[in-house]
Amino acid sequence: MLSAHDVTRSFGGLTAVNHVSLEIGPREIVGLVGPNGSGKTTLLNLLSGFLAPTSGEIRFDGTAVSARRAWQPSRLGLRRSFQLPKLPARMSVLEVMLAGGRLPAGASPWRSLLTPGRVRREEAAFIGKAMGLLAEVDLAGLADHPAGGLSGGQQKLLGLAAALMDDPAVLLLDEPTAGVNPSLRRRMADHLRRIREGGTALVIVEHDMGFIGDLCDRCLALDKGAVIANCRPDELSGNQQVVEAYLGRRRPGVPLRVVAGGAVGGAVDIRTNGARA
Amino acid sequence: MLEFCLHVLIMSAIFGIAAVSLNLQAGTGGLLNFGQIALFGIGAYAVAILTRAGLPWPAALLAGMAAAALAGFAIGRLGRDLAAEYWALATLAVAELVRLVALNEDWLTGGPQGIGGIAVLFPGLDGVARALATLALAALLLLGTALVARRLGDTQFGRVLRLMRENPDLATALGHDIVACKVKVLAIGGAMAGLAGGLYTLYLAFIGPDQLLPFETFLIWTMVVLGGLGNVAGAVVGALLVTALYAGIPFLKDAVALPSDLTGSLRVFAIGSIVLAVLMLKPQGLVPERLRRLHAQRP
Amino acid sequence: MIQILPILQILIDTLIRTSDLALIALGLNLSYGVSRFPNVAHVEMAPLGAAVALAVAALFPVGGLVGAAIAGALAAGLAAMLLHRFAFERLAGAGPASALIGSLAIAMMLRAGLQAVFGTRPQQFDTPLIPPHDLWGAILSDLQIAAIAITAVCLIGFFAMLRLTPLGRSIRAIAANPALATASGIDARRVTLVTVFLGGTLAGIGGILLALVTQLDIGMGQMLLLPVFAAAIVGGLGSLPGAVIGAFAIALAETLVMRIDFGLLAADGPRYLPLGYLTGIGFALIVVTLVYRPEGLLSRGGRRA
Repeated sequence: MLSAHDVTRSFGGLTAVNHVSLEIGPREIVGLVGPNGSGKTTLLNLLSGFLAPTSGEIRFDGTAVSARRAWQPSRLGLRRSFQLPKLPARMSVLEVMLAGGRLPAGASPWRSLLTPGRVRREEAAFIGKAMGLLAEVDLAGLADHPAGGLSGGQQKLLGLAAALMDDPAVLLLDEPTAGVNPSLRRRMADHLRRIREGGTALVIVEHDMGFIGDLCDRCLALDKGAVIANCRPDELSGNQQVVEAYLGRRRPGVPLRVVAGGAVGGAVDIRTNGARA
Repeated sequence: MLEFCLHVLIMSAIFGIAAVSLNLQAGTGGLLNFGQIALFGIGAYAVAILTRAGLPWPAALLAGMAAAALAGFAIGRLGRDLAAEYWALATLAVAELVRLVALNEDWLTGGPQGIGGIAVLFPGLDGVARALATLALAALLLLGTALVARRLGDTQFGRVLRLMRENPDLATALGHDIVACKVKVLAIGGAMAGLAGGLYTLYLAFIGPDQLLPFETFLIWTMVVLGGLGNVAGAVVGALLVTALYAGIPFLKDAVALPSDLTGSLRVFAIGSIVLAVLMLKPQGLVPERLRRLHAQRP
Repeated sequence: MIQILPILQILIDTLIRTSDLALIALGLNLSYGVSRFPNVAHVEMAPLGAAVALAVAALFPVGGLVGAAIAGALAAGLAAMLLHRFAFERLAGAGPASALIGSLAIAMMLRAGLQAVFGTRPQQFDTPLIPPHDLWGAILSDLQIAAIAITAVCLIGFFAMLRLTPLGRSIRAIAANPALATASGIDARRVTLVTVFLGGTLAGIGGILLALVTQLDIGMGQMLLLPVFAAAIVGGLGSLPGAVIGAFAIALAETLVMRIDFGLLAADGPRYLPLGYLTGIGFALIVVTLVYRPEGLLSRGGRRA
């Protein structure tokens, strides 16, 4: 359903994703793990069309995913969540849900003005659906609350629910448990299982190995932009490359040097700048 | 005195339409259009040129709206993913380019002298009666524009715009083509601004390039900021207050016995201070954007 | 085609226009680097500096022209700093949109204030009338030479300060990464104020030079606004060398485009772009740059949403 063919993404001299190929089948739950800087989020951005690959191709349901039309994968059934939801403070929870749905009459300025009855009926139907989804994540009581005013965990759940408004076939999740308390984490795992049963495949970028272990059918481990393992979660700890990637290979004795380059005057070596101005 | 009040009300209605338009673009859509006056001006000049060529004024108004809508569409396609304040600078530059064309192309726009001698509205009426008729027309069109803006804001279109304003990545992730939305709202806003410009020309029977100076855009921005970004009623209230202040300054100046050539400076100072005061003290404006409650529609 | 013969005149005209814009554009980019929003009020520091210099020259002839110029430049720097401290610090916190609108308001008010105090008629400095030099067919006056020279000296001095002094390093650090700079012990607020002061002073000097060579037109800010922004944007908002290069690019574009004989295309006699469109060249460059390369020639400044 969702596939990447030899995808590479470089930023200047840095190769963030290195010749990655993968396939996600219907109703799978696949974990995407790896240490910081391994390219997980970049890969997620590539898969969802938010970034263009330097080379290689991504296909969803036969159609090529193009960053030039980043909104398209979502309409075709490929949706994603964000690690930091940053939901709008001046829109209510219910409004954000509705924005997640496809309301063609309401979205068209002409039809909004000329066919108010149809628009009203369309909206009522979607409000029904939205309230149902909100109820599943225990947010129904907060439907008129400002979305940006929700707690971090609640915002993540809302993001999830909004993404589900269009019944996506694949959902890409960017660190769904980051900043979420343990009890909510368990409920989230339940939600995700239920979502899979509803027919949606999940790709989960995560650091929490316990979460991954309980939930995922299989895992893709990344290191320095390349896939180093594609196995069941319980097989990860037996994989030598994976273990090395996590424990690191830093040489002792090399001093830490911070270099800030920028628009004004080029790089500044903070290390040697002891004098105060 | 009555004539003066009617004048202020008519101008408030005309600029109210321009303010509602800007509110839709900037308040709802988050688009910092600093070239609003160019859209207004295109409508104004179109109406001037076409009525002078013999077209009846309702048709000229529609043509002016169409021309301005087209210009809005063109601006919308400019710099698709520029950050807000950069896009604002681009629109400022575009507006100045439009003004330069108006200033230089004498054959079309009358150059620095502008276009005058336009047929007046309601020639059968006189004085106060004519003013009242003009006010009725302007108020009616303002009401229509405001209702359209309100309606658009309340539907999915408005929702997507507001999401685009707050978090464009999320809007894209939920399947919305934000460039297309941007272009649509600028075209609609353009049509509204063109309507205001056309009315302006018809009311004053004159249009000149001085009407396209950045200060005029700034005036409309003041109305929207004062009334509260994102709020249709606020834009109308802002338009009324700013227009009244702008027209009232000469009287104030007389009351305090200041020399005449200070009028211009005084106006700018007054308007500028209002904007600053609002931005620093009450950034949501006088009438803050309400959080939409969908209660009535819920089962 | 462009007339080849007066190439020297073209070069001189370009240099003159570059020096008109360079210092003010540099000041703009300097301020942008630390305050992070395009400050429309910045260009008003030019007429402010010139106006103060003019007033000082008239009221206190003791210091002579140089003293008046210094006073004007310092006044502009001070004004910029005060504005930043009391208005822009607060506005910038509310987001770049509020800051931009607020700066537009302040720009308008400054202009109105200057007009109220100094009147709307252009005024002139009391400089001796020397006939311009004729260099192989190109016209150049002593004042213009002085202006270019002074601009060059200021630029060299500024970049030397930036590279060699601790203050310069702090400025670069804050502009590159404010959080990191603060974390390594730099007092961001103080350095920002000093930077803004410098930016204002540069603009003031630019305005004084402009007023010296031609005249003080209180509407100077309005006329300079978009060309200066064009220079800053084309060079790259926030890039200091970019400001100078951008100024040169705009100056060159203006000088060259004005000389293009469009009549060759229509073959009906010489047809040049009307003078009224001169400033439009800068505007067009703003639009083109923002659409195709918002980060400008040198910097990584132009943000994409």
